[in-house]
Amino acid sequence: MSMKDKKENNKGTLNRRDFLKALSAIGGAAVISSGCTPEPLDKLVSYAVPPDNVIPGIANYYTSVIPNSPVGTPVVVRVREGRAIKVEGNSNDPVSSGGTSAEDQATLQTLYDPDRIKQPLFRNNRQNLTAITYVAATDLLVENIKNSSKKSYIISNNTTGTCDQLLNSFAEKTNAKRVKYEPLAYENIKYANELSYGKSQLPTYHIEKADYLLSFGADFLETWLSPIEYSKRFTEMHAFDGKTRGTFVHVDPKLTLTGSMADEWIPIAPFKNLDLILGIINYIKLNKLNVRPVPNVFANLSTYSLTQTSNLTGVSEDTIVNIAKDFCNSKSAFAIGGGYASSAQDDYKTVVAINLLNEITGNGDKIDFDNTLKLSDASKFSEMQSFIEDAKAGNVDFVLIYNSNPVYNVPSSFGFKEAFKKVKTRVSASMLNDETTELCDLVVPDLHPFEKWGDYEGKAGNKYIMQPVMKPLYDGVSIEQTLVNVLNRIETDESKKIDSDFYNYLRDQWKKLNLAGVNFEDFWNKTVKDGGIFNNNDNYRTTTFNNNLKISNQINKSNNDSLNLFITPSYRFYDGRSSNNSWLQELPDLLTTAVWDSWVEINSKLAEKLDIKEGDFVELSANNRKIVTQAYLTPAIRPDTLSISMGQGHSAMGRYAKDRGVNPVDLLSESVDDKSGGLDLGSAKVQLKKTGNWEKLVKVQHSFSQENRDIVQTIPMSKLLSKDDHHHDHHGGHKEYDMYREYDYFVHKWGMTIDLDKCTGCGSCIVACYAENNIPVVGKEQVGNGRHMSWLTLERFQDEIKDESDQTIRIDTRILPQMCQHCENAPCEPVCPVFATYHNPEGINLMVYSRCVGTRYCSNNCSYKVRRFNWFTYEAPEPLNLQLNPDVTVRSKGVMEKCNFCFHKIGIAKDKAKDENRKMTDDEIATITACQSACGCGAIEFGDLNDPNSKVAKLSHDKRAYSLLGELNTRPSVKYLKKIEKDKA
Amino acid sequence: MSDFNSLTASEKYSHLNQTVMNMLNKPGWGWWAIFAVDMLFLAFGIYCFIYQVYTGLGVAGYSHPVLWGVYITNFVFWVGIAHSGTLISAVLFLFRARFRMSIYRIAEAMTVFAVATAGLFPIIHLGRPWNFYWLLPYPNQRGLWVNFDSPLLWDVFAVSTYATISSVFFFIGMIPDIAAIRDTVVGKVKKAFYSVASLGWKGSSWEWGHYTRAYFYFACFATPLVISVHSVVSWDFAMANTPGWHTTIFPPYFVAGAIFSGLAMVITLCIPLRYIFKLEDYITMENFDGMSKMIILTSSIVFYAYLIEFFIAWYSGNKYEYDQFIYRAVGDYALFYWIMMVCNGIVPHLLWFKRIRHNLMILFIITLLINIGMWFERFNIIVISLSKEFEPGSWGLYKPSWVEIGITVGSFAWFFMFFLIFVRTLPALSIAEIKEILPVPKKNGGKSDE
Repeated sequence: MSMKDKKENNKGTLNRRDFLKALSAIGGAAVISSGCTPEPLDKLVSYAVPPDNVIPGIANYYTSVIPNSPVGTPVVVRVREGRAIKVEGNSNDPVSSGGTSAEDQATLQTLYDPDRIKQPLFRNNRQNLTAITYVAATDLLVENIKNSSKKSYIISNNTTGTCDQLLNSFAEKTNAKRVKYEPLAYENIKYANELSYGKSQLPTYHIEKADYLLSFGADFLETWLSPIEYSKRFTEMHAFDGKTRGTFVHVDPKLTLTGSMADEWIPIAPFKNLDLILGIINYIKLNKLNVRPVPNVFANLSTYSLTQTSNLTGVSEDTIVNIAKDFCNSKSAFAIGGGYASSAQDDYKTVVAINLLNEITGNGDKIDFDNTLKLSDASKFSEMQSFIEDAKAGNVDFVLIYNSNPVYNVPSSFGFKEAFKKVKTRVSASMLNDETTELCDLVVPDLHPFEKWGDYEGKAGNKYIMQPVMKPLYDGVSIEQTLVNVLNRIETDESKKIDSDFYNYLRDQWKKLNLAGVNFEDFWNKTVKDGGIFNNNDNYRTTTFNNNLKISNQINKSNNDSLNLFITPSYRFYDGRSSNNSWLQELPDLLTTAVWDSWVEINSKLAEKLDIKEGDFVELSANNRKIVTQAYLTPAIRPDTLSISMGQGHSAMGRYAKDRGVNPVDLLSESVDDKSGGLDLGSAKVQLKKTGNWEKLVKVQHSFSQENRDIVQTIPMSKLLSKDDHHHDHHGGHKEYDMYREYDYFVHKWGMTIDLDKCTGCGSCIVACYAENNIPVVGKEQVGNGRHMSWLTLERFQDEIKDESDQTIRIDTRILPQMCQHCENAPCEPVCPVFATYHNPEGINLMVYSRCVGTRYCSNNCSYKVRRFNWFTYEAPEPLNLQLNPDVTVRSKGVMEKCNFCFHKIGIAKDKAKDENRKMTDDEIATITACQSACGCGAIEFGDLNDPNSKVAKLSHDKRAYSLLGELNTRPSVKYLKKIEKDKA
Repeated sequence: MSDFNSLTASEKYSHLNQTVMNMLNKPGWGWWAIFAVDMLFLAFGIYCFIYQVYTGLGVAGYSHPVLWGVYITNFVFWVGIAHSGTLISAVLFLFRARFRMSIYRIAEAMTVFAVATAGLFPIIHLGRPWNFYWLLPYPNQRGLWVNFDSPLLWDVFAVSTYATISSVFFFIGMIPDIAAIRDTVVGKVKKAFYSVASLGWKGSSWEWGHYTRAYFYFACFATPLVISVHSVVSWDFAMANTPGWHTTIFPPYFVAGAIFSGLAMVITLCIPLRYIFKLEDYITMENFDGMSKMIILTSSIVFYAYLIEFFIAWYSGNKYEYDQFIYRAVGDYALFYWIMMVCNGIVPHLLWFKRIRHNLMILFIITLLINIGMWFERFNIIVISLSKEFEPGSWGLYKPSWVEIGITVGSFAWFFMFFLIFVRTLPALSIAEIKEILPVPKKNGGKSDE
């Protein structure tokens, strides 16, 4: 049929082609004429022919592990069309129990970090780093190894598993010394345990078995040993089980996140934990409260009278007596300690004293040396020191740096940088061009854990598989593969050569773990699917305390003229390795709500004396070094202490980390504890000086008082236990005042409960929400303008309570995770002139972004102020855009947005249930919202309020349940469970 | 009073047409200079708006939780200004208040231009101003409709109705005067313009009969609008649950405030106009006196509202309301609050004194202060209420940015642009109505129609 015929046949009708042509012409004209509408997309479908296992639009889930310190987190990664878009916890794992930290959630930003090194780099004759191939890089490595005549070093983080083996054999081949440098290596705890129990290990502390937990500076909800695990254990111990609830007392010079969760925070003079513990032990001994004999470990124990202890520590005598009594009178008390921030000279003695305290009260059985941390294998800081000496002397020819940034982390007084520069060949295997990599001549970039095979062991017995969940972004080669290549090149003996493919080598290693002797392929597939092999056995043998231990101890009176610098590791950046991460930078620090910078916490009274205001730039000088940063005033720190958090102050690493804030470790002197080999964190006695400059300290929250509004409510234990069923909260609101008919929720009525007693304020829910819902990062300036976009915020309130009896100041810290409350009487809904926000039949208050014209009336009328407006079109630099969740609209400028209970996930779960002709299961519903699945403490519960058997329905009628600002009769679908208060004595 | 009235009544009658014609003469360099400066400011305002649309609303100073700021302040301010026009022309017409005659045209013009200015701000303040028409209930294939529950939609209707009625009323009132100009004006273009605009008015008694009847009906029709428009605007706030907004006193309070600010603006405009065009014979002390008295009345209502708000905040026992009003008086924005209190509550009471009422310099300054005070009243209501609501964790402060200031200045330029064109093209004094109250210089001393 000719064209002519065809045309004639279709006479009078518009044929399909012409119709499409016309349509495209109209569409094109529309695009051209509407200059202000959002930009058209380039491509809508990237997969014309998708790979076999990929159905466009349906997510794949792969297990992997994030080897973040200190123990690593096994995760399940959601992958859409070949891009990792979201991290979920792996509930198979007994350590994390499916929880993730904020840092874990933010690892996607490390994966898609715009500053990642894309290919190997080599410093040419002109001192410029130029790109080379992996083959050339391997050649150069081999060549340099062969040419090095003096000592070689491998400085890495605490590697485990197969990677560790490879590095070991590499070290063996090249005669290199290994330094497994972890800034937070807890030498004090290890050494103390060696002395007390003969085991130089970091054990598991079974805090969940205690009903009275006493922590001496152990920030176990932030960075201490295994924070996700301890959050879980802490919840188990501290949460109300219907009858009782454990008590937690935290001793620290400053109120940390962990301390703010305590029933009582005891401000102690910095680095005086030992004195307090000995005072307590002495009191116990004198009053014969001990259940086991007190061995004579500390010869001068008897000098710790109450008065003496009180004078040394600044803790009142009453408090000491109370702690000692409570500790001994509890059914099961437990003391822990050895936090990084308080590990000054001789801090191992503190941990020994803690062990002793547990021992004499019969509580040593909660220390578990059968499940130790792999972090125990990390080198002591003194080993790093000996490298520095070696290098300074010019004895080192070759250094391989892997996943470690000592130029930044080692206090500059040790002269690492100068020593490092003297090394002939400096090789770095890093993803980012950090301070150390910057000084290297050869850079072989590593892949992100989500791009490569590997394994990781966080706690002995729990071995996780690192599975690539996507193709490497830059077609790179993993460092393990490069090591295999190099090893095979320098190995002359053919028989000793290993499999040239690292994947096969890894499998070979895992064959040894196939203990059941099943078919290896089956074993391997199952292990990869599960995420690893797990040690679910929580049984352990108790360890006996060495009663013959003798420790000499002298009482040091501190001089009062200078201030102590208290350097706290950051729960956001850890030691600074996660700083080039815009989600973490924009995640407000819980207690200060500051973002994107450093600040020094100063006691408000001290600041008043020195005429320092918030935002003033102050100079801190110690040990001939000085740093300048902004002041943050708080009553929640002792007046003899200043505190700066670690993690900022990078001079390299990438756009988000560079030139931001200060690195407090630079103020430390060249002081190492010679017994334990740990860095002395107490060596900075600082002078504080005002510089005269001022700038607004960028914080998310400006008012920290509740203004007597009872936003975050508490309930005393006695009231909770009383049989009185009278319920003060108006669950249904004031129905008699309603003008309109109630909504009918025929099928589902989604709701949420948030247990304020369980929430620890770790912030992982916030980062998870950023990842799930494509929430833009707005940067420091815009946060300063009050324009952060987080749908979920942790409001924190700190009211000072003056205790009339002893004139001490108690800080009442309360945390409120707040998102859209999905009110039944939503004030936002009726005021929108265009129905851009509306109530859906399942009780969710939804936003139709495309309909929104941006009157912002909804936010003005929102009683909770949970709505966020897109002031600009925020675009993340490539390739961060690859992380965007395709199920969620990316908003453009001029529209309002807010939490929608992860509406898209509800749809996915519903579809799946419908396809399988069943109802949604409880487990399924529990994984719908990003915040709930990220929460390691189980504080958030989402579900169907229409189902009377659902957990959320039951909880929302709990005695503790209340609605935020319930008197406004907005009738939120989110219910809070009151924080439990200890009864006042 | 009589110092200014140099002409006798009959001279006034005969000179009136010429006086009005003189105002329509070719403008001199003075007018052009003012107009050029005005255009410059307007251009800057337009630049700011384009910049804002292109970059995003973030260039304004908004800061969570204060999501309304200067733009809505300007909107309410200009709607308020627009009020007195209708009040003076329609309500006072119905009340037969003689002092309205010579100033009502200026007041009406001001109304129309103020509405034209006010109407811009709801669009300027939108996050996506290019979609402003989505607020209109127009039939569309997507089946999208507007939310009639939303006070913002009521605004759309209230303001557009007001704009329509006040424009029509303005135009109808001018028809006989335009015809009078048509009869004397020279030049082809001008002649054609006035001919069309006068709608073929011949001045026959048949026409006059219908005309006066129509004018009366329009006045009746426009009168409720004086109450409704600003009541509806006040509901933007009163219908919301925000402490400091959610109060039943708002409609009368806003209407009184609007009339108050409008009268002040009329005086602010009339005093220089009278001076420049030498209208002392027609815009007399009687006019200013009457308006000043109305200012005293409305100021008292407004001041009472200010005080009663405090009383209710205390009496209601509502903590949020109470805290809000304490915050207004002593908080971050206390300066603005006290500017408002002094300018609107205290200063106008100087007008109880006749000597002050009749000293045009002082009167001019007082009305300027009232304008400033009333602008801050809206700013205070909007910004201070929003900055501290229920949840202390969300509190924050707002500071206008240069873009917002630029657009605000531009809006004044926009208003004065119309006004400057108006005084040179249309009869600023109502020839017909002024003549009504002047004795007709007839040989026989006959009576006028009314």
